[in-house]
Order: sequence, then C-alpha cells, then structure tokens
Amino acid sequence: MLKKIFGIVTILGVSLGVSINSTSAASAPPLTTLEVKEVQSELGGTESITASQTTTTKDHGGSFMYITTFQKGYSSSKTATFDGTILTLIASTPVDVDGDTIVDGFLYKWNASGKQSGLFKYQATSQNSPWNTMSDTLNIQ
Amino acid sequence: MRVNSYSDHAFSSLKSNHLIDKSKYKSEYDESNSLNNITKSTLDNKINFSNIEYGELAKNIDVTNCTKEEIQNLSLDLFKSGNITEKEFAKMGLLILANDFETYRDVLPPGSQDRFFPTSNGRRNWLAAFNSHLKLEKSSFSEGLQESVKVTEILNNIDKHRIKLSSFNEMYTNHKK
Repeated sequence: MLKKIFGIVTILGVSLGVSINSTSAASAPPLTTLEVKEVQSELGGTESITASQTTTTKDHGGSFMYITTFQKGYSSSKTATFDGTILTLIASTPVDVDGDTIVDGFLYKWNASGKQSGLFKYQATSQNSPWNTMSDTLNIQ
Repeated sequence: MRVNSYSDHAFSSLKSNHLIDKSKYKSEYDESNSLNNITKSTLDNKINFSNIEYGELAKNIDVTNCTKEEIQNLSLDLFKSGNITEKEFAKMGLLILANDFETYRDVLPPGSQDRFFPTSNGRRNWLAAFNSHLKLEKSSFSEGLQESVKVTEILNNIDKHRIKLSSFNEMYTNHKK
C-alpha cells in the first residue's frame, strides 16, 4: 500500500516538475531593434553612430576597420556586407539592457579591414515569431 | 578624439621594454578571486601577460574612475603595442559599448537607466562594469569568453598596480613628513 502511494506521489511530482519546467523556459525574445552603433578604424578613430545618421562624419580606413551593430532580441540568421561583400564576424557579446541579468540582445563587431569607403548593410531575421527581418545601412566615407 | 590625461606617449615604451617579472604576475593572477577554476585553468595555458607594463599603465589611468574615451584609448594602445590581439581588441570595444548608456538610448525601459550613468565628469568604474559583464557572458555560455576574461584580467592587474602605487606614494609622503 505504502509503495503504491509513494509511486503515485512520485508520478505526480515528476508530472508537476515537467509542467513547471516547461512553463518557466521562456522562448527567446524576437528581434525588435537593429542599429549600426560604431565605426572604428585606424584613420578615423572611433565614431559613435546615432539612430538617424546615414553617413559617417569621419574619413575611415587604414590597417583596420570594424563596424559594430546592436540588436535587441534573438536572430536565427544575420549578414553584414560592405558594398555587397560579406563581412566576417570578429567578436560578439550578449547584452542585458534592463539590468535583470537576462540576455536581451547582442552586440556584433564586423571586420571590414582593408575597406576604405562604401555602403555597410546589416540584416538579421528573428529567431522566433513573427520571424521578421530587419536591416540598417550606413555610408562609410 | 582623445581627451583627458591618458596620453599616447605614455605607452610608447610598451613594446620595447620587457621588464615584467612573469612569475610575479602569474602568481598574482593565480591568487585572484575574480575567476572561477575552469576559467583559471584555461588562462594558465593560453594567456600571456608578460609584456604588459602594468606599472606604467597604472600611472596614467585609473580603470575604476575614468571616461569612456580613456578606456577606449587604453584598448587601442594595448592593441597597437601588440599586448592584445585583434580579437581581444575587438572584444574589449564591445565590452565598453555593452556598458555604455548611449548604446541603449533608444531602447532602455524607464527606470533602468541609472546603472549606465557615469559617476561624475563622465567617469565610471569600468573594472566593475567589465567584471559584471563577464558574469553575464559566463552564464550565457557566450562565444569569445576567453577574450573577455583576458581584457578584464588586464584591467584587474592595472588596478592592483594603481593601488600599490598609491600606497607607496602615501608611505613616501608620510615618511617625508
């Protein structure tokens, strides 16, 4: 009898545990914001980019050039191009925007070393519903 | 644009001089409580702090109280002097942006802005910010964790030297009195 009760309690406990786990595992937030944030190069130094900015104010180029993008939300695919040429990702980091120690988005740094001037474009598609695609462009001089 | 007291020429000797006692810094690093054991063993094998003149760096920057431009300049100088790799330089730049209010200006929810604001005159404790961000990266199993660990440890070492220097100066002043 005791064995039977223990068995029922165990089954109940396991079921409850599963249901609790499945409800607490929230899905990754979709992509809601995507921006070019910074251009850094040997010749132009570090230039912060504002949301409304379409062209860099400094002349960039030299031995190294990196472009940083910020996105709020998770993406399943992301591509950065410079005049149509696909750039490689050199570094990335998760970010906690609201201070709750949960990852809200990401910063990505793209390697455009060897390039001088042209059109930078970053595009990403949301990992979850509504699976939207967002993009941002910046003319780099 | 370069501002404040942190200057380029202060780092011109970084590449040419190699006066650091390797064993001393490795020992100090081993005693650090800021990293967990897994990260420590990774660092022991792969990170070489030998060429960094922490004493010189500590004279010119207080990583617990400096501006964004100063920490960016430190990063650039470490890269130019060959003390951090291109990947580490790129990652350090991201760690700075990840802790900068301007990055989130358009998306910050009300009430969560205070933690990004500098203390005074645009200065803030970047060492604390880097250490805090390292925890986020560790908990989310981020790529490039090793680069973050290294640059954060460099800031830790600079700060240790700044404290030593400060204590020495205080003792010297008291002795003169």
